[in-house]
Amino acid sequence: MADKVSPIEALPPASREYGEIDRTSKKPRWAMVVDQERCIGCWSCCVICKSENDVPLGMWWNRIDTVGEALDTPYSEDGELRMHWLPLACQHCENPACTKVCPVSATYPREDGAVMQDPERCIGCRYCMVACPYGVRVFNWGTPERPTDFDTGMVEPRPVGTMEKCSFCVHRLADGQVPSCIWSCPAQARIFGDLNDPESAVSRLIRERAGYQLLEERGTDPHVFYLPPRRKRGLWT
Amino acid sequence: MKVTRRQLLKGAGAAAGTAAAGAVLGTAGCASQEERLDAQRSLPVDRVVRTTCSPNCTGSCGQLAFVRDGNVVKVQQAADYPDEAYNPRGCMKGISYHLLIHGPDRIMTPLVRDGERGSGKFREASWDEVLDRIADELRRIGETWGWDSIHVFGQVPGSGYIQKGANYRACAALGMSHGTSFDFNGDLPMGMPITFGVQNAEHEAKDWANSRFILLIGANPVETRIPDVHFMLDAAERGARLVVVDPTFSGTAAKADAWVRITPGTDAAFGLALARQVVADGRADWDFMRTYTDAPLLVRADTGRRLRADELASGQARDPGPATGVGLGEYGRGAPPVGEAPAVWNVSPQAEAAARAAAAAADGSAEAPRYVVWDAAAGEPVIVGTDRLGLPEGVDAALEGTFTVKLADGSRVNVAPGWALVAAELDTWTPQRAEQVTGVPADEIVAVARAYSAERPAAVIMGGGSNHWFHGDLNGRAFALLAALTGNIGRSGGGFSVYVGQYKVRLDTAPWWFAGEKKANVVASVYFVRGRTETMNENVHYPENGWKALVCTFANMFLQSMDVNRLHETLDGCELVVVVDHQMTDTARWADIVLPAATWYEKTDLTATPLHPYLQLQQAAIPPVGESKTELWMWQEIVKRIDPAAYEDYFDMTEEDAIEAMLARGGFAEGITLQQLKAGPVRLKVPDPDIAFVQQIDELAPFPPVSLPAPYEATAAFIPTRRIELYKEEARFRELGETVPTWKAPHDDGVHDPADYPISILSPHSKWRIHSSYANVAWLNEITGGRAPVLLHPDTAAAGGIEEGDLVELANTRGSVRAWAHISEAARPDTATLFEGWWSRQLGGGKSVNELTSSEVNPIHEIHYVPNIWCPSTGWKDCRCQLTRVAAAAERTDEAVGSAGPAEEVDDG
Repeated sequence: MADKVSPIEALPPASREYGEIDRTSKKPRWAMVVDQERCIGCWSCCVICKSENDVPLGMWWNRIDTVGEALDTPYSEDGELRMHWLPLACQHCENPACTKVCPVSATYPREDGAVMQDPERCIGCRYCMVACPYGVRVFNWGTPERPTDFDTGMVEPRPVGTMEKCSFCVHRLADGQVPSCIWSCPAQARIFGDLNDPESAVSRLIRERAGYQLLEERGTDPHVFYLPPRRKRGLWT
Repeated sequence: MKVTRRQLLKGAGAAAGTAAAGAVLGTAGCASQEERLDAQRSLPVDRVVRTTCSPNCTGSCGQLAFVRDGNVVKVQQAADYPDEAYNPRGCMKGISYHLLIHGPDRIMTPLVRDGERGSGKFREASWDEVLDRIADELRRIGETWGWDSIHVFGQVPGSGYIQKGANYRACAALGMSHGTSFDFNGDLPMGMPITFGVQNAEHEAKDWANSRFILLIGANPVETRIPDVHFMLDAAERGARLVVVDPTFSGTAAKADAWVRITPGTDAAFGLALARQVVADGRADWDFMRTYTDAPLLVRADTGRRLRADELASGQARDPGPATGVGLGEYGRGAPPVGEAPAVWNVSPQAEAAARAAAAAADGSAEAPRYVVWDAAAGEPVIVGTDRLGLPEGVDAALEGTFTVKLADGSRVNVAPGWALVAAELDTWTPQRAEQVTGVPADEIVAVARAYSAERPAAVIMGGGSNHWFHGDLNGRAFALLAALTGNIGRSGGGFSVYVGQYKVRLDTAPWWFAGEKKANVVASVYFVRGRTETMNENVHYPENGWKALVCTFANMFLQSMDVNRLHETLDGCELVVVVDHQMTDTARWADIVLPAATWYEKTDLTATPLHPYLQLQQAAIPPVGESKTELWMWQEIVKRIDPAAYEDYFDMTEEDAIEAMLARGGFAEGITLQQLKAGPVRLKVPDPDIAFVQQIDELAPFPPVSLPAPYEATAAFIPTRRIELYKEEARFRELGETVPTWKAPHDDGVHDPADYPISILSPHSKWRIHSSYANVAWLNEITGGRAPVLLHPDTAAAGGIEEGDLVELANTRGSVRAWAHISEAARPDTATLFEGWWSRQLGGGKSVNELTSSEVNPIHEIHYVPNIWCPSTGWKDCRCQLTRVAAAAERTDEAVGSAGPAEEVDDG
């Protein structure tokens, strides 16, 4: 077998350029913008997350909630059927609820805004899971089941009995590449960048499109921002 | 939109928590911990290979295969299109493909049936054994019953020119029959060849972003065009209005400015009412209609045929001579000077001449027919040629009225412009009448018509929901009329496009699909399912002794064929059934011999699509898994055994040889080399953006543009006027009352009386599968639950005593199928929606939803016979059934999920 290479360095040039983080300040604070008008609920971001991070069956670091009655099923409001999608993963809070309750400092906020999770220190007490208001932390209870008989993806699998969650793909950020969910969104609904750069795409979109945070009132101050769906024009206006 | 924590936790399935908060121990991360975690990098791989995902969705999305220790450990979009708007391209299915490559349903060795057909009992066999046996059997059957009694079926060749082309080449070399797919799949929009003389023609997806208004008829791109639908969202962001017409509330309806809930099978009535309203509102573009359509051409009252110039008495009509057409208004500005006939792009002058001669022969005249319009200014008939669009300068062609002309035999006959005949039908489609048929309120119909005609450019996109009907051609003709009437043809951001299915052959395939001069005998596969029809076109070479063998490739035919129980009757008469696949599908389980195929991550091929104009390679990332082999290799070995000389002549070559031979033919691939393709996608030599009929509109070049791989003259014969034909004169159109765009009740209403079969069963494409491919991807089944729901309206469910999750049965005279009720107002009360493509093990009973669907052939589709182009297009949605409750909702068992996990087919079907 040939010598192994970094999958980032092995990318074709055009692909590598596509994945580069657009512009950053000297001390970046990473943020993700999810445009609900563009999100089509396809789960590509979730599937690539599972693939990139070798997430076992039964667990999703990233999922899509249908704002409706069930999966891809609308709800009725004022006599009209409506449906949206809400992609949901770790919100990478500026002021996380989870890190405060961890008895062993297995989870902590990094200076660039990513909330880190250390599988080596995690003792599996799941306090963080309870504390997190977003329900995005997942726990691997038993021997992980995978659809293939070998490990897939680009990171080491986590030990049994530890907490897992979205990492902002920090293993990719270090190489200047966007997280995999950003790369793989076919609707171009996910944008990644530096909140400290006022001219970055994320900063502009949050300003111009009324970006909001989930459960803003809790003071967690997530680094994931959502752009609300546009108002429908109807037929007559 | 207010989201609560309770909602988020419900979604997570999190257990109810204890009150939180232990004491915080330690400090936030010591330096060594931070250093350790900050040092994380992507794990190394052996290599990254650029290839193309090319199932029958037909997205043709560039993918990267990340290979570690000989396994594909990640698939991710290549996102390397030079036109960045196309990046990243690729969906959740494509990026989970490695679960199929290395999954539990992968066929690892050749298999020989070891039990009753369909029992699923097989024994492993060597390649030598199965190849010898197949060669012997094919030779025996060929020599006993005729080689044409062997039906080779392979889906959508344009998505894999080489491996799928090998099927055609083998058929050509040995004399076997090859089936069809675009028509078989019901995707051939017959309104296109009827109206425009083309197989199909559309705008590249990028052009959606240029629309000011998008009208989607039975189309659901949010779920079925995932890599492309962002262009529609771009248009919306720029202020375009999206209107979705669909019986069911879909993902696309969720994004639309308005959703029009229509009665299934009534789209043509809706389209005609829109067209009538456009005329009534004074918004029709008569310059367009006179320049490009047959609207001004005179039709004889006595015969219903168009008046030919040579039928007139000498001196009756003014003859301005050849190539005199000018575009009216703003049209035809790019046309050559009057007197010159514009060439049809990518068609040789010889082919054009041949087409003219063929038209003349068909018409019984010495020259290509010329037609006649009535010049209202001069009060006389004027001759119009077919070598150039437009009208002779200064002619004020009448669109209405009745006139009398003198024929060569001295008799007088009444004539009327084609438009007058179309208008007579349109006039009947008042909003009130349309409301009665479609169930859409009259004021809503008027509002859609006005919103559409107020904006230019405005696009109409018709989907499978509208095309997949026995009378899908009438749906297409109605909306083609609407687009023409508003001058939206050939215009960026406008058009009438149908994106169902892959048909688009972009290359001259003759060097590979033919064996020298020999071509495959191509027989529409619907005739494999149901035998010959009384109205079958005489040019179909149906095997004298019927069907005796099937070689099924790139398809899950026994699940995905319409009227699947009738298909099984044909199979009963087959002495050999060979299935080539890489997943153990229901079809493979019915085979006598199963051959393990390589996936497109394990072989070389060439792909293209209608959705974007890039030519791309498939390149092997890993060697074929197990003992799997390429289709080319299989045919090489079979042909070698049957006819060594044919092998020497036609099969002693590699995939790359075949690609280079086709590239060398130029055409749309002019200047493209294999070397370029190895590095990434290369844009074909087509305009940017690639827009249907732009050359006809700009340059007054006669319709039709060429439809590869058919010779130009074959498709030009569909529209002898060389114009957009709204009026059809062939006898069968007259016999069936379809000379002008009209609406007819669903065909199955005549088979299954709506009083007894009250439910329309809709079986649309699912976003979770490409037909039946990806039905066994474990990750996707985690999302969906991996078993088939039937979408029912709450009133329908209540009437049948059905509750959420109950097992229900759908049945008609053709068969029955069982699945689990999912109740939502998204459905109409008179419909049940069971998405196609579930495997039988994911259903509560039955083979597939296609036990219910119909294989009946519309005789209009048999007027001509050009395989995949003018050919019987099937009506999947034209289907009624009864609904009954079978059993109460049961708790999901792990077994049910597990059964959804493993198994699958080769990419299509």
